[in-house]
Amino acid sequence: MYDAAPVYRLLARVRFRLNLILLTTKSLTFLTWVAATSGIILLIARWTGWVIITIQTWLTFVLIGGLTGLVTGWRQRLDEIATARWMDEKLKSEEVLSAALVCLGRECSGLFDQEILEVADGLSRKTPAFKWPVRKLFNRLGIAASVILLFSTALIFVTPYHYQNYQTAPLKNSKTPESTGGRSGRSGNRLVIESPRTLARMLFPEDARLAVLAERALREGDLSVFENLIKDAQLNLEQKLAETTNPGERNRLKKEAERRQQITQSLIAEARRQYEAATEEGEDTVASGTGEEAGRNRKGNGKRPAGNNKYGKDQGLQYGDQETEDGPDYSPDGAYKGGSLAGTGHNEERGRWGEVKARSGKEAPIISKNKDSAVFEYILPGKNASLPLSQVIPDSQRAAEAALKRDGVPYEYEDFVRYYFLLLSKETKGAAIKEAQK
Amino acid sequence: MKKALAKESPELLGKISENVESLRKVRDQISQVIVGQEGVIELTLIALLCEGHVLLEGVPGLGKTMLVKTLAETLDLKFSRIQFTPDLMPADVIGTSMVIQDQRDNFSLRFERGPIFANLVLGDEINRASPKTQSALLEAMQERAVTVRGERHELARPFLVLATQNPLEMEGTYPLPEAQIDRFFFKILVNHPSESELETIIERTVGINTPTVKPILGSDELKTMQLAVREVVVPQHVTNYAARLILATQPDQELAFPRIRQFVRYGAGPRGAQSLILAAKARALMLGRFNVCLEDVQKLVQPSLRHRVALNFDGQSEGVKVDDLLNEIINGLPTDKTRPEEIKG
Repeated sequence: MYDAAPVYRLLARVRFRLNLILLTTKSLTFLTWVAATSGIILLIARWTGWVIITIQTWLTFVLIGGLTGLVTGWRQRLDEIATARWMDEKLKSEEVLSAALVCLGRECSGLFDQEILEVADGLSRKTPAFKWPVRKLFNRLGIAASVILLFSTALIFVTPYHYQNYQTAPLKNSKTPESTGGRSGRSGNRLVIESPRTLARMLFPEDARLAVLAERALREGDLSVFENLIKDAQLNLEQKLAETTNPGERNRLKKEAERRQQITQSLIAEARRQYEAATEEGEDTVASGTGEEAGRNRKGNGKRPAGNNKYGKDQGLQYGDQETEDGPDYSPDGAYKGGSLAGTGHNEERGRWGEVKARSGKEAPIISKNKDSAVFEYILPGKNASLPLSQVIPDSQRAAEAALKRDGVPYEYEDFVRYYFLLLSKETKGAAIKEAQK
Repeated sequence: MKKALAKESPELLGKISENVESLRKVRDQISQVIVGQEGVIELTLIALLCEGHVLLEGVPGLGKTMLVKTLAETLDLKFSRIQFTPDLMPADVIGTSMVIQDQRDNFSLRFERGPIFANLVLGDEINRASPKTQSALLEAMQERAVTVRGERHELARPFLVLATQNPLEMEGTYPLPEAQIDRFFFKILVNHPSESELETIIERTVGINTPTVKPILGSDELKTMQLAVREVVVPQHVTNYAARLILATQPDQELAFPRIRQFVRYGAGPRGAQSLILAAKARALMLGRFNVCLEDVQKLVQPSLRHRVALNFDGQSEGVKVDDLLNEIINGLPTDKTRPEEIKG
């Protein structure tokens, strides 16, 4: 019996390589198409604010595209007959290998089968030098690499927070302290907002200044300030509404006004209820917004003087100094006069659940994360500093602002840096007043 | 049903190889007599190996009769010639019963065989005969037997009819109907020789010494070769290609090219596919191969299919040539429909 092993071995070897080329090329083709299509959609989606897709999602799409290509290639993979056909064409062997497979398939029962197999055997024993069909593969590889590089560059360097829609979107899965234990979206029939910042941005999507003030007011539990802000914003909105002639814009503004009113009414009512309940029970905390913040922000660290410190006036805020008439809070040794509860608020109660805290002391300036309350605190340089703060801060503040402008500060810390310098400026003003009084 | 050749016979394989070599000699010898018609000679030999009849089309004086005569001499076969005329009767072709009176004055009927009882029959200007006579011949071609007065007479084997027709003088002719023309295995166009070929013809034929031929292959060897042709292996994709070629000639098929749809009334059928593959087998064997390749099929598309593709009125009025349409199919139809695009080239 004729030994068909060399023919089969050659066919198996060539078949493996051809299928490898086929699978890779198919995979790259699909990958390229999916990467390009989803990349374009992603960029459009980000730009228009339709939906925010992360680069990880895009990469997942790309991966799925590649896998689809693999599956398609696998379904079109060559069998032995197709491989023999390909080899016959390449070797110009006048279909000898294909005929040999026919002979082997019928167990060499034909008159000329042995002769054909001998010719095929002679052909397979030589080392055929194929020109593998890799041109398309390299072509696709180049295109795929270009597409991925292009979109990766676009998606990595054009970060999402450059877009307006991202800036106004609620925070999701953020590692900032606000999101600790927070939830977003709907919980049953109740709208749960994960942080004061989210709420503030939701209410004032077009006015960053008001959003910052509202967030602070919420954090400090100053509902009257918050209400004033809303009224102010409402007035602005009405004024805009009166000035706008574009029907589409008018419609939008009306809807915005209705939305804001709807949110704020229920929000304020709920916050008041919780606040009053907490006050009656003698607790040291009140939820600032939706109640979701309660429990998270109610913790004090026990180190800070509560209430009537100099930050209580909150001079940086437009509406922040309406309730307190307390004077400066520094004792001669630089410590706070207040109690043992933490706070930056306007009075004793509100100050307990503020987020950003400051104190002067002898320690070196540090920025740390409080392990108990998961809020940031900072310690200002103490009396022994060689230079007064008023001389140091402007330079640092300018540097910080420059860093903020060029996105040199991680997004999660941007607001923190702003607050830090806001409070530092108050500190310097307080120090100046004290000097003047002296 | 043909009997298969005995397998595992080294002598047989040796004999076949010798016959292949002899066929080459036959071809060379005929080429000595018929100058410049190598293609025609090769196709005629292929048809002979396939037991297929040939329709030779060409103007008079191109050596058609000479070709058949030389072929018969070279193959040591019995040759006869029938000149078709409008008054030729079927009996003149197949034979007739004659009343014979013996020495005792007894009368009896005896079948007198006509010229069709030969191995090689040349039917000159077949389109000049009446349809009745044509159909008698074509029936004999198909059945390889004739029936006279209820008696069946088998024709000699091998049996090959080479009919000729003149494409120019169509007046007073009876063009062969499509159903009958389909029975021809090949339609071979005999073209004018080139300048150099004409020179050779003149040199060889007007002198004292004219080329002569001697028998090389007998009828037994030819029969063996006819059986061997059917043993030639055809790869599956070649069969598939031939099938797609046939479908591409049919204007109502998906594979049909736009010009086929526009100019063709009907295309080749199963008989065309059979003759194409069988002829490809014969060609492969003549070239010393035991398997058919795509080139065999492509080379034989025109002689196998040109008389099986009929042009419609548009095609005829615009002077479209069937050979051009077939060439378009050969050039445009992919040889492998299943191969992925990624590994082509």
